[in-house]
Amino acid sequence: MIQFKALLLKEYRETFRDKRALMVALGFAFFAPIMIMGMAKIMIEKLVDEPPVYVKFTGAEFAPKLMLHLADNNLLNFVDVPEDEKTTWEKRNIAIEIPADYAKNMAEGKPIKLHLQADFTDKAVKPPVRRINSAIREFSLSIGYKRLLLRGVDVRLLNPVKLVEQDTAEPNATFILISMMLGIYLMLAAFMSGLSVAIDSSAGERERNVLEMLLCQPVSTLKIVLAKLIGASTIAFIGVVLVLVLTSLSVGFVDLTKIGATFSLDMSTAIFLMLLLLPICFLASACQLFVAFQTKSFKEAQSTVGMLIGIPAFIPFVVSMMDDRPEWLDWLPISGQSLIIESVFKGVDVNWLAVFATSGVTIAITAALVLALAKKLKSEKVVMALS
Amino acid sequence: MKTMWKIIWKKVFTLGLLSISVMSWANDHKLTLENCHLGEIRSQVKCGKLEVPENYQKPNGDKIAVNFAVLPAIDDSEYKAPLMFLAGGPGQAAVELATVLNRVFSEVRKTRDIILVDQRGTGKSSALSCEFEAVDSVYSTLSDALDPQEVKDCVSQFKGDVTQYNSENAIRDFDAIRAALGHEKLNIYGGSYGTRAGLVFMRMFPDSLETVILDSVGPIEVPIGLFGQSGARSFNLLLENCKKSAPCHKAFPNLAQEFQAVKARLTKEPVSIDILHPRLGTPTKLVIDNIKFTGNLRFQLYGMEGRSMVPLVIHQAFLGNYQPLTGLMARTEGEQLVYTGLLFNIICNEDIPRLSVADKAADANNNFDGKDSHLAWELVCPFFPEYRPSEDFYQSVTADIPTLILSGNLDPVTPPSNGEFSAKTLPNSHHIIVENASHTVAMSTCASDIVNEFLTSKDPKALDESCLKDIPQESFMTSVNGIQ
Amino acid sequence: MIEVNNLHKSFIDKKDKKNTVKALDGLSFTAKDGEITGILGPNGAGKTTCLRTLYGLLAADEGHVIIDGINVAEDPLAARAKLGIFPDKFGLYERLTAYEQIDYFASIHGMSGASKKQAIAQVLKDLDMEDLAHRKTVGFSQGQRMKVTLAQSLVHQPQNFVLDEPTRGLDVMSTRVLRNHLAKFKAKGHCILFSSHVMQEVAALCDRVIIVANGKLAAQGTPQELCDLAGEEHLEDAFVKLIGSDEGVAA
Repeated sequence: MIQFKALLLKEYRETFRDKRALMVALGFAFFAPIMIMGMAKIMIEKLVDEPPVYVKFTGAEFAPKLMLHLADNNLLNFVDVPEDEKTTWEKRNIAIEIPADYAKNMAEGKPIKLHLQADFTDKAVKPPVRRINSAIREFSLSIGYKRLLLRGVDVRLLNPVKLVEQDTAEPNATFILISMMLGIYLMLAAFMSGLSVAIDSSAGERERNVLEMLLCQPVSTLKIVLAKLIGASTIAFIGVVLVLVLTSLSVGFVDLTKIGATFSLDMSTAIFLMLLLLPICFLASACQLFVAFQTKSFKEAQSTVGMLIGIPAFIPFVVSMMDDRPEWLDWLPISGQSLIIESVFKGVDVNWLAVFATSGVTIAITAALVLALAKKLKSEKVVMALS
Repeated sequence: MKTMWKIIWKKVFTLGLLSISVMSWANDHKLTLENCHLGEIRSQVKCGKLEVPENYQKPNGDKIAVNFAVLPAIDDSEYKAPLMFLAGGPGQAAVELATVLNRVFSEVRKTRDIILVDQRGTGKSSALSCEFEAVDSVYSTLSDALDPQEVKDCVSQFKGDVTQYNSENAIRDFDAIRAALGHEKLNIYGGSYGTRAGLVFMRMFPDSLETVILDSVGPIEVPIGLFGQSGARSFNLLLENCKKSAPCHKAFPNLAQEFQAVKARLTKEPVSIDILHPRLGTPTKLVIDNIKFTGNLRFQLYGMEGRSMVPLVIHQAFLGNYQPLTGLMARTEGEQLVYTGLLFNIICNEDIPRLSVADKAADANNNFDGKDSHLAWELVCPFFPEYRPSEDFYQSVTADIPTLILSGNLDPVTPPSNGEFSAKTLPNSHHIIVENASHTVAMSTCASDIVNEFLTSKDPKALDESCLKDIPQESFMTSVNGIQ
Repeated sequence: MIEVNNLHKSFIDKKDKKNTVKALDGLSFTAKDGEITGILGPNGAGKTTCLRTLYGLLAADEGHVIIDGINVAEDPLAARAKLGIFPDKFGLYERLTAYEQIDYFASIHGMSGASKKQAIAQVLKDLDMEDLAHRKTVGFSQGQRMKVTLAQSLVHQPQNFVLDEPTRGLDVMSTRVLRNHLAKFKAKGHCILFSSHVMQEVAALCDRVIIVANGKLAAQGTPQELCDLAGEEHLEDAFVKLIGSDEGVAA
């Protein structure tokens, strides 16, 4: 026990003293919430906010009611563009031409064509054009409805079939992109935060010639591996906690209710997520140590272990994209946890069997890796690679 | 950071409280609450029933199940007292309005549950319904063709003690649902008759209410049922506004005269013409007399869209073209807007008996539809079982609860003067009259945002009312093809 | 006491069986308590393999190493507990202070509490490095690193002390410190095994010299005995003669 305590104490000391490496390691956790919030904000703006659009109308005077309707939808005349937005809208250059015989054709019930010109390959033009389109369609429909109504037609005839969508998600489901992103970020945090620590304490120590010394000491390799594992996964876990805490703090800055969503992490959910991801932190660090010890150099370790990070990002993504999820996904590490995280955010009852199963499998794999690594450190191959 | 934990703790705590109280009520009062889909709302909401005594004096007597729905707050991270919607009519079923209310109160729902209760006698709460209107004969029948036997038959098929289906018991149900759901306080929004219900709520359970919004008020002091003067006022404002609007005045320079001319023509002899059924497209008869004509126009006065078509409809009728009028009738043909049984049960017992002959005569003295609006009461009320509310019921309500009173100046049934009664007796109230709006202003204008602001600030006198100024003057259609 | 008995070790290239290297080929010697025993050998003679087998890092194909009566192959941890190891490269944990580093190794050897503190204080004093103790080891000079390494390997007062090319890269002062310390240690009756290829050092320091070539014991004895054996005046010449070629010197 004295030995193990000393080993662990040394790992912690080395890790926490290297402030810069620590910041780099946890930098991901710091940036995750910012990224999530940023993306959510952009999404909300795209989906809900209707910023003013300035259109170059010709013949606006022929259709005052239409202009009013468009103005109600924040689609405004370019002549009124404020100075600071002038160049933007000059560049987007959306033009609508209203024909001079608009009023006459309207009164006579003849179809009227408005021409909208814009560079449709310009991405920035698309949302305004979409909004103009729907505003004009709405305007046109409302006139059409009234025309029929005033001719004694039941206007309900115009909608023979209506599809009513009923979302079977839980009423308090908060599962939107943000939760999915958070799920992936939590996985990534587990894998990324401990990464540099794992490499440093394995391949790094070998490179600095301290590993051989340690292996010559009267201490079992299992203890050495465990100490390094705990050291690295502590950082991984701190990363996970940071992502959770910072996300729930920063989520207040975005009004998610605008898109009918909410995100809140209550204490019990947060604790549940932490416990759920704890085995993942260990698994991540075990994988990284395992691979890093096999490599020939620090550099090789960095690049090889770097590839390991792809897995946690990849698996939840694939899982969330899959329509038919085979049951065994519930049991596997990473995929199992990401499915559970998904149901936590969906507000669905958590499948406790799956929780225990996936945690069990994760811990078992971690243990296997640790034992294998401990054995490996006694092997000639590793010893021969020492110098 | 500190506040965040505070919020989290509060939430954990309130959640605990909530579930405990729900459990205990579930045992005592037979509360059920489950996920469901309502109307055209995409997401799931919660539907519930609460068993209450039919007669609160006899708690062990017959029970009725009151149907209700909860549109859960989108962001429930912080508890805020919910908003209960009190429907109009009387006889509108709140739960049936879920689609519209979900849209109108979308801002409110971001942080608050919205509770919709089918008032007893409506919707799925032991509805009192009468099929007075033959489904396919809305075009060919006249309003006074109602057969007394039909009314009798309808009343006799009501189950239970109809006299218990009164406003005060409805409020007891509402408050029981509040308690069953574990809310200490409620905000209520009442529209039209819902304001009457709201005022009764304020008198009976003032401690259950955090804030009150009364939109288009039917105060205790003004009996519901006489709409002659208010309808004429609203109609005359429309005529004035048409005259003030250049295109309308140009298109219909003699609108008032034309209206009177059509009315006179129809009074003399109803018009009977062959039309194609607006929905079925098959030949049918359209019979119109003056009562049906003004009745349909009155119905248009409730909303700005309907009002915009009134001058055109009058003018075309004057020209002998009843197609526009037919189209208006088609808009609500075959739809049950209110549960008529409950409507008559309440109005016939709580309001009509208070009207004197002089009241009725004064109301009938108008140039719009005379005494036509009294007709239904006179035909139907005699057949409804009698009950009388307590004397308290007719006392002015003086509860000291923050109250926002809204009126639409163009309203044909609850004119701004109605709102003034409540504004006077309620000490912590503020009356906003929206110039260019008609009945139930929060349903159709930015007043819904003011309601949302009020729910948070609870100060009716310091609200940002500026957006109401942007509501445009009413404008009118001048051609059957639409304008410019 | 370290007894090396008939060690055989081959490294087999799995892809090319012909490329098999016989690193140790029946090496035997004994390093006695109270003596400094030097292992001399050209590069590739099997010194490092021998030492690694002695530490228990490598398993011998045949033969065994016994440290104070403990067979290394059977109980490497117990055997290592009897060893103090001074490696050829002074790798240090650069984010630890010298004190923490020594403390770390003391704890690994199972020391704790007041006795550990005392042992550390003693070794710091012996090596005259109290002023270094609480500085982080990053940026230490080669001599300072040597002291830390020496302190960490001796803090638990091992009966046997193995040094692998200890003076490589050391200046005169540091070498002197090391020598003095080894002499003191010897005086206390410890067993010191010393691998080197610096003749003067071996000649000056070692009581007995073991010459290894091609994985075998080429000769052993006091430096003087070896010179006599080879009939040479200098140990270096004796060494070359004894290993039977000048391969070692040239390499």
